[in-house]
Amino acid sequence: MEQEERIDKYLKGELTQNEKDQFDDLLKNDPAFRSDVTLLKDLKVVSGIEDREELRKSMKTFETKIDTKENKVISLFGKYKKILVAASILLLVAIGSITFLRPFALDTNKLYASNFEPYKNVVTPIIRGENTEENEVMAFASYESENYKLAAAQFETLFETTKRPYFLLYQANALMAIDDAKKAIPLLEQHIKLNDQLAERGKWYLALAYLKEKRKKESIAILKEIIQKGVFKKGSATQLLKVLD
Amino acid sequence: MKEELLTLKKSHNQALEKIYNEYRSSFLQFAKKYELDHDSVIDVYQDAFIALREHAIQGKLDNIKSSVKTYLFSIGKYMIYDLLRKQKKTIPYEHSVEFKETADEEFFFEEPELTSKQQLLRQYFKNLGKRCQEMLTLFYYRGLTIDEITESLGYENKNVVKSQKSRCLKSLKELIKTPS
Repeated sequence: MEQEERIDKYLKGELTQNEKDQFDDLLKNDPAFRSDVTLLKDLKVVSGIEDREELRKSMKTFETKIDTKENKVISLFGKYKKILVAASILLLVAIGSITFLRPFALDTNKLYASNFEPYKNVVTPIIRGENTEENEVMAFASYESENYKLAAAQFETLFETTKRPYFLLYQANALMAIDDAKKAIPLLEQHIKLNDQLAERGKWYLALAYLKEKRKKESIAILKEIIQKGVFKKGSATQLLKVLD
Repeated sequence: MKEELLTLKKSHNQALEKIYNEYRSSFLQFAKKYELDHDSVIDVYQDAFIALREHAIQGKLDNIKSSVKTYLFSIGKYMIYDLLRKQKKTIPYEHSVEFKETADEEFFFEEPELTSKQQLLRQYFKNLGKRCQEMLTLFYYRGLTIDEITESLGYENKNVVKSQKSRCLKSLKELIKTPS
């Protein structure tokens, strides 16, 4: 048996009586063996410390995740409750008018209007502090004060200079807010391809933009994806899909 | 519960997120009755979680009759009492009885004090590649078998793991012999 294996067996308490005797003998008479045993015992202690250190770091990231989620949920929820109620009423009206008045023609414009609400700024509040870039703050300021035309231009420049995917999402949203879904579509498609953490949001807006442009099939495909993922706007997507399908 | 225990013992730290989150909110709820701010409670929860994992690795949870959650909360409760005592806050009488009962060595976990030799070893250990650190940690600290490591780290077969582990040990010894 190799020394390393012998010591490993000892540490795991797997030595037979016979092997144990040999082990004790070596421990007594072989200084190199003795120092190996000490080393591996120490290694157990040291790697344990490092592993716990790692776990502490991991727990910190768990907490950060919970914090961001809670903040997002609270702020999104407060705002969405009203929108959701309004959206469902509008949808009911839409379903009603579709079923009774115009059984075949679907007013995609109306559906778009009742579902679209510019995505709130979740980016700068999260990374504010580490990112004090004036331009970004200005762009979000325009966006939040509903100066969408200016915001769209500012986000465009920001994306060109920083290549951060979320600027595409906000540029697209600003464009959609001024009813320019056509221009928004390629931006959203690009945003989703870049697959950042807001990608699922991008899908919802892309579905709406398609709808606005009467590209119903594509809209349905995306809605199905959203529902399957179930991360963002699952409920609204399900409702909208029911109307469209 | 079996599965939970295995995750605690053997999984990568990031994989503990589910268990961590699962008991977190009820622990926060439970800790509400004590005069502690949110951050202190989170600190206690994390310390308790570390102790829980440590006990799982040492095999102390293999034969418990209670659930992992109960075990975790017992540790946490003990740590809360300990903290309150240190902050010279009063422990309500009905809890003080309980405290004496649970104030048992077995719930406690403190980081060991390293000898100077161990401190040096820690530095050398950190100089190893990530892959080696992981391998040695899984084998020596977590107590995984070669077979388990083969599976967990996605190696082809156990001979690769065996020779890899020997090589890692060799690198470590070389670092000790000729520190850069």
